[in-house]
Amino acid sequence: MIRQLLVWVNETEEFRSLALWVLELARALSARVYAVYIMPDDVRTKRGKKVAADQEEKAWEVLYEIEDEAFERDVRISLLLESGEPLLRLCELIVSYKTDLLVVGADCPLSAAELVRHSPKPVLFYKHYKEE
Amino acid sequence: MLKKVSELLQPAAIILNLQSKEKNEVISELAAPLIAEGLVTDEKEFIGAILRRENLESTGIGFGVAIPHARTNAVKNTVLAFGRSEAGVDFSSLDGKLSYLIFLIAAPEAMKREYIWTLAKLSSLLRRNEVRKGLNTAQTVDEVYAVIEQYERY
Repeated sequence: MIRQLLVWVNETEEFRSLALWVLELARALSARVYAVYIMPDDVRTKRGKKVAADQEEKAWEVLYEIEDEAFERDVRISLLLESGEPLLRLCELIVSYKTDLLVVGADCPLSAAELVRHSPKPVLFYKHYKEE
Repeated sequence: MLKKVSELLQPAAIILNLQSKEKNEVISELAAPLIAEGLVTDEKEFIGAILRRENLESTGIGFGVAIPHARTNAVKNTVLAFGRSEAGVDFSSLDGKLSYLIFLIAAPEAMKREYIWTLAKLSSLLRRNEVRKGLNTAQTVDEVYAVIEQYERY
C-alpha cells in the first residue's frame, strides 16, 4: 500500500509536469505527498550570500507552486527545503518520513542505477512527453 | 511591481503577545485586526479558507515559525499579519516543535504570483537565525518593521 510519496522537485522544465502527475497519483491513492527541493551545499559555501538567498527563494517558489496545486486537488502535502548531497538526503528523508515511494524526474542528475541501489524504498522515474 | 513583505505587513495586525494558545484561535486572533481594518470583506470565508488549508497541510515551516495562508476572494489585496506567542502554538511542524512566530497571509484568487512570491520571500527570510532572533526580541511594532526591512532584499 502506498500511503506516502516523496517527490524530488526542482525548477527545470520537466518539474511542473512531474509535480502535477505526482499530485494526480497521490489523489488516486489518497496518499500524502512530501515535496523536497534539495539545494547543493556549495550554494552557501562558495557562491556567496546573494546567490544562496536567490536560490532559496526560487526553491520556496517551486515548493509553494506545488502546494497550491495540491490544495486545488485536496491532496495533503508537506514542503521540505533541504541542502546537501541529493542521494544521501533523499535516502534519509525516505526513512525519516516513512515514505513508501520516491518519485523523480527522468532527467534528475543522479544515476538511476545508483538511486535504485541505495534507496530504501522503490523509485519511480517520470518522463515527460511533450505533446506534438 | 510586487510588494515587499514590509509593505504588505499591516501595522495594526502586528500582535507581539498573542493570547490564544490553540491554532484555530490564533488564526482568528490574527485575522481580527485585518477584519477591523476593513481589509477582509468576508470574515467567514476568510477564516474558512485559512483553516481548509491548515487541514490539508502543515504550515509550520520549522524553526518555531508558522505561515498559515490562503488565496481567497475574501480579501481585495494581499494582506499580512504577524503574531508572536510566548507559549508557542502547535502548527504540526515537521520538526515537531511549537511555533512562536506566526505570519498570516491571504491574497485574492487572481493574485497567485504575488501570493507565491510573498510566501517564498517570507519563508526564506524566516529561515535566517538573525531574523528570527530579531522578531523574537522586538519590543515594538517599529522594531518588527526594522528587523524585516534590514534583511529583506527587494
